[in-house]
Amino acid sequence: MEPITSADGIIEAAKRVSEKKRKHVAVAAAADAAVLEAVSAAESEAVCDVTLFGDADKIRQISNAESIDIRNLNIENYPDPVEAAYNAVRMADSRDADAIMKGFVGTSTLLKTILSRDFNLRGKNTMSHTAVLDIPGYHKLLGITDGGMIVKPDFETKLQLIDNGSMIFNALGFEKPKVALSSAIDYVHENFPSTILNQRLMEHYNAGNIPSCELFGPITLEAATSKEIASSRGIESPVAGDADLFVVDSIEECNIVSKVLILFTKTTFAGVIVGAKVPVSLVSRTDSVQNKKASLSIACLVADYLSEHGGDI
Amino acid sequence: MVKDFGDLESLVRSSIHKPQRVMVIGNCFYKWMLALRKAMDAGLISPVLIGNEKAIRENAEIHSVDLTGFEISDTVGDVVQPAVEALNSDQVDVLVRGDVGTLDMLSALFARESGFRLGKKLVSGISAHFVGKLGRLLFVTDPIVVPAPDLKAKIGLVENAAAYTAKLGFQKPNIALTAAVEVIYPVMQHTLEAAVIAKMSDRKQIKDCLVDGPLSMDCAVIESAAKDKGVTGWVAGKADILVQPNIETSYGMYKAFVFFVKAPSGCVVVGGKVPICATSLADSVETNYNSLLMALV
Repeated sequence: MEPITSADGIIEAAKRVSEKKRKHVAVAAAADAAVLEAVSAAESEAVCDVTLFGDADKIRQISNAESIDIRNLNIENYPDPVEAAYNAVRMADSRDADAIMKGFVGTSTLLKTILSRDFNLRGKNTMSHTAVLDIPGYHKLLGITDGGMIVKPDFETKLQLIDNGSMIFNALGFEKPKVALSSAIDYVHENFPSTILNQRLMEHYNAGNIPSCELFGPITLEAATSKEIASSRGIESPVAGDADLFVVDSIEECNIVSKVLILFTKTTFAGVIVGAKVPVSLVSRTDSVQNKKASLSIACLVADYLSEHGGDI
Repeated sequence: MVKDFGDLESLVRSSIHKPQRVMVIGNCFYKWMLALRKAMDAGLISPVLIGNEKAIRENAEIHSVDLTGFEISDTVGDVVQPAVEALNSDQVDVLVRGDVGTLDMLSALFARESGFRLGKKLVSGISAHFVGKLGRLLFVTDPIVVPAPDLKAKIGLVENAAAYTAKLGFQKPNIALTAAVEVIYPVMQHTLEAAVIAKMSDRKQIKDCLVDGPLSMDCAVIESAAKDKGVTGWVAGKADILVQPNIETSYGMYKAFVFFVKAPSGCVVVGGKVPICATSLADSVETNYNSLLMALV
């Protein structure tokens, strides 16, 4: 598979994958306009099939009020959101669904359900959120993690963020993703704790312990995304100026920096949670339809990748 | 109230009656030479370059910069020392970083005997970005100096930013303490500290500004987003200043505004005896000039 370099490319690739074997998404607590809009658009463009778990009356009410076409979507009536989520997860556990989409239910409730002993969906890593951004002015997609779940990653957690994020880029056609470890400076300095942690990760990498990616850090956002800036600072790494994944130091950094791009440029944003045996797609009300389709498409591509690589990462 | 860098330039031009002494520590980057040239031609500054005169002149020649009227203090070795001497004899109004590491320069200036620090007053960096979609300037702190501010340092960041923007005509600026969320989670330390500072503001322990937090980025600057999420208060959706939880967040935002949003930007270090401009080599002449204006105001 050719590496995917744009949000449109993600959606097109998901359609191609679905042509071979149609992917199925189980929506946990589907009575939510943003979610219904997303799955309706994805289904009509043949990205995936969909089963909505949730309050059937409310789902119909919302789709009528917002003129969302849900005729081709299966509905399983579970008025209680927690119960709806449980049954959506069960569908994924029995492999009748390839991915789960978060609806009108708390993220922590949904993730606890996925990780519960009732099911066999736990992976070896912690679950983490990666946003895949198509930023005007950058020549490829940039993943950024974690702006949604991991507050302040330590050494072990950053290893898992690297692993989870790399797998997403594997699914997007990158054999050995280029992963940048973010800091506010491009060198190690004792006053900057993130640079010390990133140096430790580099030592681990240089000892051959992170074979899944090309890793480099500490590095700033501009040096990770511009070869010219990186070389003017004497930074020599294949990752510099060509990063696929930017692993940040705190939830605030990830969340706030990606918000700047989303609010003030025409960046397309597709978020996905990985780390379990099935990917979880989540969209928010403010996402554009394009963002929502891209998010579902990434989940489908990750699901396809996992099914071909043993279902575990 | 200054709305963009054009306003800032007018304010600076109208308030400066005698050229300000601007000293560049370490061989001056050509993009700074051009910014200084522009300010000098406008009668705003008289520049002094500290460094290797030969290298400086060669660099100016390569980039066709006219250095007429620039004073060059040919210095080998410690380039910070001449600036420290100038500081102590009140011979300098603004410092600019040349070809010397930002952290090396700052730690030399922060040394007790340099005379740069004003007692225990916090020294902090502030960037400013003209955001077209908002039609106004957004100030961000701290992308340069304080890596991981604790509660006390965050209060210092708030006070420095309020004092600085007052010079730009912001009488009671709206200050948002940003976080990943706009609610308080005990596991997220920054949301707790933001809430504490917001309450201190309510109780008038922090003056001359309105502070609220935690606020997510969209709730801080986009009124409709704050409204949609039911976040009320004076600051939500109308923040002038974003006080960020850590340097990675501020720095990443600064660079995202400069390189991807392409927002006219500048930054300055305040809280010391004189302001410092410490942009990076990758920053444009425009960003350098804006930073100089921010220091001269």
